[in-house]
Amino acid sequence: MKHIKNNLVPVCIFLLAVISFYFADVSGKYLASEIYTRFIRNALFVLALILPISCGMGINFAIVVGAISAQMAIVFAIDLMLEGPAALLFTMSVSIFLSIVFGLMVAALLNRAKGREMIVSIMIGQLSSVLYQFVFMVAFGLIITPHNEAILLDRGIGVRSMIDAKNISSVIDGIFPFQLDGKTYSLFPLIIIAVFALLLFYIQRSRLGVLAKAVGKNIHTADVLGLKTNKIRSLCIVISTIFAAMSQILYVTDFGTVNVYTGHIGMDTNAAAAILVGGATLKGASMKNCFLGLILFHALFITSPMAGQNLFQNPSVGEYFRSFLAYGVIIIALIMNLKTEKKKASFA
Amino acid sequence: MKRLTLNPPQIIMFCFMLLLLAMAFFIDMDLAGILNDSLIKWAMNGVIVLSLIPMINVGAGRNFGIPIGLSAGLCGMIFALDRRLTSWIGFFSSILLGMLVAVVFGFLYAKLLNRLKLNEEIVGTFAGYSFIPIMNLFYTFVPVTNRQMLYPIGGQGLRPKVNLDQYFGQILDNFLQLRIGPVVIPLGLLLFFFGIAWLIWLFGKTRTGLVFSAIAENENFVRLSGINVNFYRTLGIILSTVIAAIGVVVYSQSYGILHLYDGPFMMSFPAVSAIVIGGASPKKATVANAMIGTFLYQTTYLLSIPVANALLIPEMAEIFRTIITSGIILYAFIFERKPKRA
Repeated sequence: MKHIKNNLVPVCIFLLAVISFYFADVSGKYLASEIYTRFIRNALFVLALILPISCGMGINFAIVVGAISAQMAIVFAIDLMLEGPAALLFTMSVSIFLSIVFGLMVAALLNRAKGREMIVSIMIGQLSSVLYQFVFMVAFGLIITPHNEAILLDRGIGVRSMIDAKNISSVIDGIFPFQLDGKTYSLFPLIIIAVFALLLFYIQRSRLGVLAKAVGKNIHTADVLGLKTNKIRSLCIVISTIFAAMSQILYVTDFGTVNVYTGHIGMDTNAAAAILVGGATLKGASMKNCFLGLILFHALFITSPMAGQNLFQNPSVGEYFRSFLAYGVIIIALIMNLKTEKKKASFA
Repeated sequence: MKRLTLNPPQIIMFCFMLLLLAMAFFIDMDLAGILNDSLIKWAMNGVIVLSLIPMINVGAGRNFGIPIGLSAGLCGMIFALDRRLTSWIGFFSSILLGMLVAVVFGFLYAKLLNRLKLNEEIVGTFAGYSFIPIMNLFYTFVPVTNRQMLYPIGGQGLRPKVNLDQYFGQILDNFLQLRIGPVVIPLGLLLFFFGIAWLIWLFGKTRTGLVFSAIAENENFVRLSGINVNFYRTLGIILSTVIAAIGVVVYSQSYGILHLYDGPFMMSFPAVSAIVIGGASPKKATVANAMIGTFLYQTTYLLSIPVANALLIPEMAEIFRTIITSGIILYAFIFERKPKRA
């Protein structure tokens, strides 16, 4: 009983997912294949949230910045007309470089706004998203001369909103294929996710991870003890941004095309909802929360419109329900956080 | 009396507006038309921006949960349109019904915010976001009999956009218009806007208004002097929600369309940005802040549209607007004095 009480959110979502699956009337195989696609597209985004949470910054909505740097790298690779593994290597290295630069900028802003990192990171995400749109919609073709004319709009200024990313996606296709529900999937993205998860596992247990936890516990004590709190927080943000960038690359390779202007939007709230559904709080998150949350959230995400269709003859009912859940779970997390803090205060 | 000083956002906005004006002059724009539009836009969005004032003054932060108040106003309009109330009766009954709904919504919203003090901004943002799907469910199932508001096929669920022309579209805009040559001053709309602003100013002078600012100044001190802080916070939050409900009715009559579903989704950030431009601090906002801020924000946006079109990149106006909105809010969060932890 105590176990259920401590994990109230995941248990509730699990029950909801089961009910929704029952009414959606789909086969288990279909659900499994859909969850697999969504899992490889979003897993690294969710993993990116762990380090900022453990160093006490709450949910880092600025992972949008990481996604943006990946999108920029992909568009540059297409612009330079790179093909095959070279394109993938170029994209990865450029996006890591960009996410280090942007991550440091984000960290500098967040370090100035201690105590309200979450809302500031939302605003940073929005601002960087429009600045990025500005670069590709206005500056491209006007200031930056493109090499590949095919990606430009007819008026000569601005990039098309959808660009084919076959040069990268073809690399992954066909490595370790397996069949599920009549479609062929590749195991390669899963291996990449596992590698990054192991990397994160190592970081959490390394010096940086321990220091980050100390900062997250009590930043003032950490400061007094002589830890360079700002530097530790910056490092966590930079790593988080790199993870997000890698995730966006995986997303695009799986999807096959780049949505230049909208591909990065909404990733942050989905990832936040997934990790919170998995039972994370704003003070502590583990990899277990990530993977559990991803599967539960996306199972509900996939089945709820169909359940709404079958129950109310209206697919949008399920859609409204899931978007309510995605936003509402953050408020629930805040309320739970307050309770644990009060408990702590009464013990002290 | 404090000396009038300009804060950096205001200086940036003034410079930007002057630049746009120069460009507008350069491309031979109809400046009288721009002035007419800017007056309408000012009052149209002004009431929504005014709704932020009570919450800031009671120390509950900038209200990022505006969609809650807006939804209340939309409900009021739905009820009025369902009864086929037209003209002034429709307009004022929308406002009244919207205010009633807003009291209920505001009370619930206040309960949530009082539980999660010091996190008002993030809670407000997500409360607003998650409230919209709830209202969408309501729009889908509300038993409305007016065919003009329903989906043409199926007959269940309200349309995303309901035309207000037959009901009370532009009723305030066209009331008491004053023509001076090519310039048209919508006196009725402006008087309504100034009237609400005057009431809010007056409220700030009452005893309750003074308690509000005392709470914002030092909550613990006020609590120790035997005042129920949560009661006053609830009052402030309800007041904000009610004014937002009035604001959306004014907005919709000017817009001519009742925009349901995702309509109020992105309306909180522009409003907050406008009041920050007007010079409001996190704990103190005046009517003048809201009015100046809205005028600068809306006029700049209005000017940027024809300039962007002249440059053949029409998306630029919207991009610039969003850059200004989020940049100004970011500025406010990062460069203002930190709030004292209670």
